[in-house]
Amino acid sequence: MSISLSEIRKHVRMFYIFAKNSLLGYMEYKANFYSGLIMETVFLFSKLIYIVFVFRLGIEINGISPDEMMIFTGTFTIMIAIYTGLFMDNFYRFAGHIRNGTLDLYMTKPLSLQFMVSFRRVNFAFPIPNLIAGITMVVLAWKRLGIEPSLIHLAGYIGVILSSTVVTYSVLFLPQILAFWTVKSGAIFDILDKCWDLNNMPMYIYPKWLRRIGLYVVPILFITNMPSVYLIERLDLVLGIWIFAAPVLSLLVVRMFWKLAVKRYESASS
Amino acid sequence: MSIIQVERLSKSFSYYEKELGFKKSLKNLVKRKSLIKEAVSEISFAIEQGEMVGFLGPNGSGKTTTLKMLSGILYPTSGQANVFGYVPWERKKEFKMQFSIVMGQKSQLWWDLPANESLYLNKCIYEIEDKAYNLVLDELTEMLDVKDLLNIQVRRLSLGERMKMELIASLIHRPKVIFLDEPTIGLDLISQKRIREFLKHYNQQTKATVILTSHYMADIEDLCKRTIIINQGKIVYDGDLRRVNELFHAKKIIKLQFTDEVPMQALIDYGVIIQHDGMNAVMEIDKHDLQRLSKMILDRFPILDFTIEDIPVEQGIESLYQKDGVRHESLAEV
Repeated sequence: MSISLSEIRKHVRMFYIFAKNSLLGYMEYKANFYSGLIMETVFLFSKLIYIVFVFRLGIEINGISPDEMMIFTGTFTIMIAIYTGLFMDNFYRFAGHIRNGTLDLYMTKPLSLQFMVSFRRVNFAFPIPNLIAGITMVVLAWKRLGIEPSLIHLAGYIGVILSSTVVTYSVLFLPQILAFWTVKSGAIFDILDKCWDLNNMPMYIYPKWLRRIGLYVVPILFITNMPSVYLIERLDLVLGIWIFAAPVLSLLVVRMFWKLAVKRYESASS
Repeated sequence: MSIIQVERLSKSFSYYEKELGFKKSLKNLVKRKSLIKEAVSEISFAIEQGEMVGFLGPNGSGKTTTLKMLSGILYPTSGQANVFGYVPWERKKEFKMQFSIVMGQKSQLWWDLPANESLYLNKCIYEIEDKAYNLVLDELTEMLDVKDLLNIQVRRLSLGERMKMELIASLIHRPKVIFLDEPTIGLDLISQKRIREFLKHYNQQTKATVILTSHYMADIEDLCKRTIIINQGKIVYDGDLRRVNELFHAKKIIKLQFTDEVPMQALIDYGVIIQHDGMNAVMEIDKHDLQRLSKMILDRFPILDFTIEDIPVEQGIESLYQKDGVRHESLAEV
């Protein structure tokens, strides 16, 4: 499918309709919505307890102060909100589309198939507590660190968050595509889930070799660290370039792998 | 020029076998013996615009695989297909805008939402103008008598009502070519009939080309003048369904009702006895001998009722299925 402006407009409009339909679906099951909200809030609080401990102890890790640490944790929480809101439901359902053959029907629609399986569902319950907590943490730490609250700074931070969002999508979707061959992808999802938690702490606590792999090979550490590193002004030239290059490169790799997989699609039995 | 042209189209799948038991599963985890199944084997046919063609065949015969290749879902292993000028598996947007596939066992509707939300979604996917959308929606909902159900959650609809909504969702963009894969599966007789009537009317009105697969003979008999019968991935018959039995022209069925009991032994010389309970009998007899044998039976036995029938279409098809692929080729009209 050629990328024209009208196609982009159509896909943006479709995303809005998918999101609207997801919200309408959520509103049909009130109990499910509230229980999801409560579950995620409790989960968030249990994680925050660790943060409070680290903060109270006032320990510096590899030159990262507790306030800077809060920037990392806040950004991680914001990224969880983005991931659970936009991608999680879709990635969970992906292997099922192949197994049940619903992918067959999507494939016949005049809309990008990759777009349709990636953005068909939007979760509204999980991101709410994470988004509130994440933004609160970043704002608090921002203030305590005395970083200038300029519009450029804010726009830059949002820009890097967007870059991280693209990398998150690519890194977490790429292994899902393996389901075209393996059909079930539960184990793949679990491995990624564990890797995702590497973002819980600043990358500076990991050895150099792991940091390099996590930034440049499988950029899972990119996700939380890049926006945070930008904010605490630890960005060097290489990382600065990587902020722009990583989303483009990772998205290209995913797109190529997707095209290869779809060509080999064998569909489920009728 | 035909709207659908298929030439020597084949599709093979690889699969593996696993024997019973835990040990075999363990062995399978390490090493699997890969096998190849030829789901569709070098089939060729052409379909004209506005035609309604039935695909018949037993489970696993390759009907759905053929439809999936024609709709671009599957890449073929070899061969060619052209659907209104497009190669389906190139999956061009212009191609997708003009055809539709309905799979009786798969749904495109959002389960938790009223059907009208899913229909609106398709309106946007197919880039239909508001006016045209409202017009087609009105027309289809009226034809299928579901206007009042548009605002009801899909999960609360009956299977028949849901199928009607699926059809509307698939036809909302007025496709030129429609592939219907078991659209009446699981429906009761009345719903089946309604959907058949709708499809017939729709085809007459829009001149859309339709390929229909179904296990229900009535679907095909009612709707399709032409039937393609597939067995083991090969076309074994392509023509008028009512003429399937001409492939076996030699036989007729006679049904007998007696006033007194007649033993089976007494009937054995006149033909093959299919059913017998003393007072009734059903026999298959040679068509060329029909007159002579009928006269002899009427003269010899205490007949209360006597009817002569063609071999049922189902029986003719069953005979086609049971024969091996190579002999089919010689039987087929193609």
